[in-house]
Amino acid sequence: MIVLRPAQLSDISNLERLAYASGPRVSTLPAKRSHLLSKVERSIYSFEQEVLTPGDESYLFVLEEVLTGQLLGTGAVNALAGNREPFYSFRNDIKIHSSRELNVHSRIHALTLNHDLSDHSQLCSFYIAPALVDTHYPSLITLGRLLFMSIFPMRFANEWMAVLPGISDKYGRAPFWEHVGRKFFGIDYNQVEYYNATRDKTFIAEMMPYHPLYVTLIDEEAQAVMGLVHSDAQLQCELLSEQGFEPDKYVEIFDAGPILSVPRNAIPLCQQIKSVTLAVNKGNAATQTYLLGMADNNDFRACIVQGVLQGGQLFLSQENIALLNCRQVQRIFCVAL
Amino acid sequence: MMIIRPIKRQDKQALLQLAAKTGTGFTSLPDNESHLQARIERMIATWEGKAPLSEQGYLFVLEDSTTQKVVGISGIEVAIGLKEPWYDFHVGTQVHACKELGIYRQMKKLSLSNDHTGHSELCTLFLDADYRKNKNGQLLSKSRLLFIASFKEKFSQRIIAEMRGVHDAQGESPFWESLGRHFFAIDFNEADYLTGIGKKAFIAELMPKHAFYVDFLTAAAQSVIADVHPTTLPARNILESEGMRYEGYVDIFDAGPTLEAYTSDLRVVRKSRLRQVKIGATELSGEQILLLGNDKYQDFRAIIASPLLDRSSIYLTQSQAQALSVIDGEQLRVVPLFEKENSL
Repeated sequence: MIVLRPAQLSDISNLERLAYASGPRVSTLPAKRSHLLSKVERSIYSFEQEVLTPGDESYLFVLEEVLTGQLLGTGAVNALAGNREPFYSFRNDIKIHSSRELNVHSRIHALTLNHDLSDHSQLCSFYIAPALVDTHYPSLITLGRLLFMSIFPMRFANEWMAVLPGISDKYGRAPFWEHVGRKFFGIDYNQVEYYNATRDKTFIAEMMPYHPLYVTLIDEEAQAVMGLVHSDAQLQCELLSEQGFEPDKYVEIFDAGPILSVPRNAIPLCQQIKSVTLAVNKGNAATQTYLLGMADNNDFRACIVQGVLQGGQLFLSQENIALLNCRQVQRIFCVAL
Repeated sequence: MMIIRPIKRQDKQALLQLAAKTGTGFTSLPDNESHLQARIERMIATWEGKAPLSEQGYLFVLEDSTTQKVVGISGIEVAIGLKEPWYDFHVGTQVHACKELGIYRQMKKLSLSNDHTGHSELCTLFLDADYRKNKNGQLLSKSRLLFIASFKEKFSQRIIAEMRGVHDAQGESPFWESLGRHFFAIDFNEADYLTGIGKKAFIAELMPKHAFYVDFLTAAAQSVIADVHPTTLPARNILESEGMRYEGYVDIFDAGPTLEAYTSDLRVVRKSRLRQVKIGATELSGEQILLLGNDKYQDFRAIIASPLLDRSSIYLTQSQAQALSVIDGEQLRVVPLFEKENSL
């Protein structure tokens, strides 16, 4: 059985392996042990907090095959995208330039550096082992986190968002970076994403343009990729889109990857959560697929199971119930998939 | 003899003919009769003391006395941007640095500015191609400075001159193609023409309001910033030798440089001296080529000549005095035509 559970200190070596495998595309999972260690420590601390309102917390989950202990993926949530430090993005503003005299009415786009999304909760660090891409386990990482966020509303903001990687090739060349960011930094795309993940954000304030950038003056190759998602993240994009996440006018500052967001009330999953108790399935009724979440104050685990929902009970196989090993105090939720 | 004098109503046709020859980028002499008519009236009103500061301007013509033909024109605007905004781009430097990462970059940026509001402006300089010889260009350009020297209190403390920027034979400006076109959707010629006839509101409506980084323009556009059209180079050289400098402002359409100076720093203003006219029967030649102006407001005249002069007097022939509209005993304002000449 594969479960989504909070990361523990004992996961460090495996996490390092996953971070390395995920490559630069998952910029919030840098392959640097010290950083991963502090991420896990911060996550453990966050779970332990009695949270009344979102702040500095960051929750890191891993996907684990319970029987072997192997880690197969990751997913994280930042309570606030920019709490200690601002969360920078480009906002694609439209300025209307209009002249009756010349009969010109143009919509001029300009990218403005901003912190607007700092107070959104942010899903990040999504990674799934390649072997599981065509299974339902990617859903587990994403929907499991959404379930977690729905069950603990006081830990999260009203708006949720995710930054998806934009277009870059296998040599690490990102067209938007080449024609925009590089003018200000003079360094490679991979390098800046690494700095972004491992350093505080002062360097962004120091190096990025203060003035809005007129899109019409940006090289066409870069314009063409604005808001486009990298093929590696297509899956994650679909999962989020199904749950109501939509691109708005914000893009990532380095590769112009889309930033998807949604108000928590508009997420379909949140409407479909049912509180249940578990029981052993003795009958022969046809089973359905459910996302199952087990929560108590400081812990949350999720998995995907086959079961029968009847009344307030979810009937699972004996084997699954044993594997799940839920504790008495835990609340249990499920969502039909 | 070539004589500089104030414009008259009768010069209108001649002015129209000159306007038709000026070509692209010559904003202030549009080929538009009603506009030129209005311009002449405004100049006359200025000379008659009837124009408000925001409308004051002077226009001088170069007349060939043998044919009485008007072959050149030069102008001054007394205080620009007081009625309608005066725009240019300020070329600024922005440094982006992150010590921690060892990165340091200087970036050039352009911002829309009205910084020259209220300044005087040298403008509308044009000389018929057939007359581009015998220092006529020098006379046409510098006689204005002599007029300013004579009547400094009528002008601003700062003075500018816009130089035509780079464009090709078809009238295309690389700077316009890289910037203006994206915002205006019209040809450079048309934008320039509209500005010339005073329809400038569209600039405020359509021009980028925020500073933008020069790096985002095409290489061709970047290379012409603050560069002049080759035919304008002689005019640029003249004004630079007279004390005007490029100080980081360019034209918003073709990025031609704006030269500027404190009026009191202009060589002609600093170095011109007054001498008393003495008219003689024979021509007495001096060693220097001089620019001579009659120090008269309404009836200004200027010529180039090399008369003899001493500490108090200047010795003119009858025809020179006539050309300058002065009589014996009157004051003449005198300055060496060229900057490199010794002082008087």
